[in-house]
Amino acid sequence: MMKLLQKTNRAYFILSASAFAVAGLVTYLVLSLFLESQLNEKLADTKDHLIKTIELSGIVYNDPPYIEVKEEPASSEIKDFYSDTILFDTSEKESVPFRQLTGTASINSKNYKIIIRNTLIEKSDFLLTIVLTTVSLFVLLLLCLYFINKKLSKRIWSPFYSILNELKKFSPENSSFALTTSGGIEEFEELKITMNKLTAKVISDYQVLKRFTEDASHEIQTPLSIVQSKLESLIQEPDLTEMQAAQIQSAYSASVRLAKLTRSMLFLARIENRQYPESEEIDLESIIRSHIELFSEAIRGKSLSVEIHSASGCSLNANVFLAESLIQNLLGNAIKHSFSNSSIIIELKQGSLEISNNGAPLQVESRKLFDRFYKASSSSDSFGLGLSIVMEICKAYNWHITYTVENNLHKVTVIF
Amino acid sequence: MKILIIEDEKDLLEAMSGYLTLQGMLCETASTFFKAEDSLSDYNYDIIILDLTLPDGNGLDLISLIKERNSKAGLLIVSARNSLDDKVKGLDLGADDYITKPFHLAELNSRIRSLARRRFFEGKNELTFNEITINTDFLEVAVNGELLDLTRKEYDILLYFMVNRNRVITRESIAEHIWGDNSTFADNFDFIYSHIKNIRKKIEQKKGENYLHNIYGIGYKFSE
Repeated sequence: MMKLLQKTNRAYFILSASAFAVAGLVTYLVLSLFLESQLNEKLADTKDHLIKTIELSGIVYNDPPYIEVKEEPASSEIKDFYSDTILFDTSEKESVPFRQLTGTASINSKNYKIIIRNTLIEKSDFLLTIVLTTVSLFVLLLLCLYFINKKLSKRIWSPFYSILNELKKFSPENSSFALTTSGGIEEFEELKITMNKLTAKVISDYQVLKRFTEDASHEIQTPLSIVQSKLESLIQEPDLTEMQAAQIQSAYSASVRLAKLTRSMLFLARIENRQYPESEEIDLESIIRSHIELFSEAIRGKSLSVEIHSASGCSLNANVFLAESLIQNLLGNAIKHSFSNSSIIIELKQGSLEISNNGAPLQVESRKLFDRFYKASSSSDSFGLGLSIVMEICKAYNWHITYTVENNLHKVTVIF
Repeated sequence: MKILIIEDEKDLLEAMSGYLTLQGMLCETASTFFKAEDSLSDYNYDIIILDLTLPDGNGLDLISLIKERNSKAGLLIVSARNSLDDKVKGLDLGADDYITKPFHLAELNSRIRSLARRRFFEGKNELTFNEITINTDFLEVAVNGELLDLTRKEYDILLYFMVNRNRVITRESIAEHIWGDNSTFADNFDFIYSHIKNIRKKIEQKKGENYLHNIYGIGYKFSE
């Protein structure tokens, strides 16, 4: 991914490079045309001057390679013309470019062929200077652009980054969320307003969704109690046939199941909505022991041994109801998924609770177990909400829960 | 025992009063806040069952009225809200017990009986059915005068049957009575079955009769 600054810099570079190339080329062409015409004029002047000197003095002046004058037959008169040539400079031992003017003149009724030359070294020096100047200007400009850009964009984009940082802290749970910075820049002010609208919508939708589960579960409960009580009354009829009884029984079981489901969903929604604010000092060990008693039939039925290792003086502040639900779900799960004749070990220390049991390996990732309505087994008696409830309770108190499986040893740890 | 049931759902009201009447209680009903206020100022009740969600007022407001006019009455709150808030508030205001919808009629009856026992028979509290007697103060059961050795759960189940005698009690209702809202295990009904088998055996050992009858696949009935 490219940074915005990198992208603008790149665009600046390409644009200014091509602008400079074109500008350099044009300057070069214009200047060399100008230089050429200057040179031509100078050559013509020199020729005129030479002719005058010969006319007056009668001396044929020669200064190769700059001036060459030769007598010619009269018939070979030519018009002045300019051309470029390269001659070998014997003293410098190198080729030197020249501009030359070739023409004829008749002086004192004699015909001469005259060649006037001027080196082009000045011109190429001149051009080189131009190119160098252009390039260094270009580099300088680019550096300036780069630093200005860097500094400016840091300043210009700073509200953007603070908006971004604020947004990163967004959670639909936090109903008072609103962006505050915009840096007094119209675009960012607009972004801020739009984002605030968006987050407000997300928050309100989330709240509606949360309330919905709660409200829907409420509304289901009253009709359900009517169904349940009517079926219970119907069951009391003395003359029911076995078939009628069986049908009433399945309708009744289903209504009880539905009642339990809505209760669990309501419970989940309430934990989520933080509606269990009362908290007190909890004696987790006694809650565990009473649940072991509550589940004693299942524990005996599977010939499980349950060991509690408890450090003395473990205390915990929480809502009793939630603490009981946590234990009930974790212990219930451990019993349900244990091999027969195995043991369940409960380790209670200050600040942590660990429940481990021996059972068949998981078929899925352990994270999934905490998903709502996820069932590890297809046993129709569970809704797959137990561990979600545990998860929500932990979230409500910022407790950390981990689940590990190693060699059939399942271990749930809650760090308070 | 005279009971006032304040509940806005007519069908539920009917079912509740029907069940309780059959259990030998005298039931009066009120389906609105207004009617309830009326009944409360004119009559005295032993037990009042109050649904907190009424169409024309908050049931919580009725509690103070009940305490003022019928201070001796036992008060059982019914709510669909299943909210601890309401529960705490209700109990703070002087309610004696709290039950959430949907509930089993047998459970409702059992709560009312237990409430009545606590309120009206302080210290001397016995339930008798032929040769079986339960003392709820000492949690003791005697058959033909001999004490039974029951576990706590067996005692709870037997008491549940004794107060809901002659009625078919569903296994679901027993399970919830014993294990609470979230009876976790699929084999709860097997556990109930074995508890009931044990109760029968223990009663028969003391030359008692078997009053616990299986009713198809539905549940059990405690009767002659």
